[in-house]
Amino acid sequence: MSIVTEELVQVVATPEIELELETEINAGEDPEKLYTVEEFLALEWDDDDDEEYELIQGRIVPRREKIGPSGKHSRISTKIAYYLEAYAGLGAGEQQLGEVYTEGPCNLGRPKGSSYVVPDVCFVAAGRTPANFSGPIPVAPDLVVEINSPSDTLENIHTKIESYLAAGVGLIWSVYLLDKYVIMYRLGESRRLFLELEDELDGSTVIPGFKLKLNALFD
Amino acid sequence: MIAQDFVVSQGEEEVMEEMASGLHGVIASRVNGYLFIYLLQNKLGHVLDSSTTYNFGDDLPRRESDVSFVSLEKMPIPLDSELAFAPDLAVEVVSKNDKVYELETKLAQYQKAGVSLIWVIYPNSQKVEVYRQKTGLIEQVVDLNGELDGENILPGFKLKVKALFD
Repeated sequence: MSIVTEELVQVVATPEIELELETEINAGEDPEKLYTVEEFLALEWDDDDDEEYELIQGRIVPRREKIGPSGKHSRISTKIAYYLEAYAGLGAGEQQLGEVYTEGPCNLGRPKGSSYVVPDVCFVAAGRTPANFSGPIPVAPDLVVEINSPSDTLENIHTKIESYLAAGVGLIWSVYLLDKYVIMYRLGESRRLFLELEDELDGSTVIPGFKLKLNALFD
Repeated sequence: MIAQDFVVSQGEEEVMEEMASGLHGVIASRVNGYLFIYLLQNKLGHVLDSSTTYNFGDDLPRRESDVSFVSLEKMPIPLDSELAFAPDLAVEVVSKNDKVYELETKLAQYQKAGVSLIWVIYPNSQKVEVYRQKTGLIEQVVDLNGELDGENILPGFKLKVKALFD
């Protein structure tokens, strides 16, 4: 039996595989290169390129087409931002917990490669950003909402979520608007929660008490 | 990989949807091979290839995994019967263009159907996501330096992630 095992292992260990790295940039950069946020922001983009890009763990990945997402995508984004703002933002008056951003660029620093991302909606707790900062949001948000498009690849989305968690984002809602479900991730907890129409989004410890029925979101 | 069928368009022209790359096939075959070797010595069940279809029940679509494992006690006799249950282990090898919608939906169905252990292999970033079923899917990312563990499904089975990509 052990002879069989060794032979098989030898056979399967032999083939040489050329790994392709996923980069589809028109600017002609080295696809193997890992970029810093500074290098990424200094890049000159081809005007004919119809994609927008993010930097995730040092790699440049397409975010979406320049023409923008669907109307539905935008509508869901707006609803989430509205409910968050009403509950934890300006709507909370003196009890305001923080600030809500739509399409706010975030520099996640480099907990695991550099990442410069633009979540659809995010929330940053009060007092975490310096007054009058310029440029991208300088801290990792406390809550990130990503509304996924049918064209998003699994690898890109999961790597992005990994980067958010590594940067200390406390709560992530990954929204699947076509199939009407949400996957919720919480920092320090490896359980992914699949939320369906009857379930509700939960602010967890980031926005205590916040609840939003998926029904209301996807109606 | 998400299975895509051949599509015949109305103009009678046969169009092939995106199919798996050689890399995908090599990795799936390796997992298959290592599991097979383990199961030769530990007669716990069967490793099944990507042509196997599971029927999870009326309200869930039929599913195929790139590689799967079913324990002896679950396996129907005769073998030539419908697999109306979830495998104990499901392995998905991600193709570069696999859409997040399709695989997340598949994972949700695996969760509902009760697959105990899931390995999602990423050939490009050379990592494996391990999902365990414990009141929901518990997720862990194992990188190139790590090892896959058969846990209580395949006791003693260890596979260095490096061995999949070397």
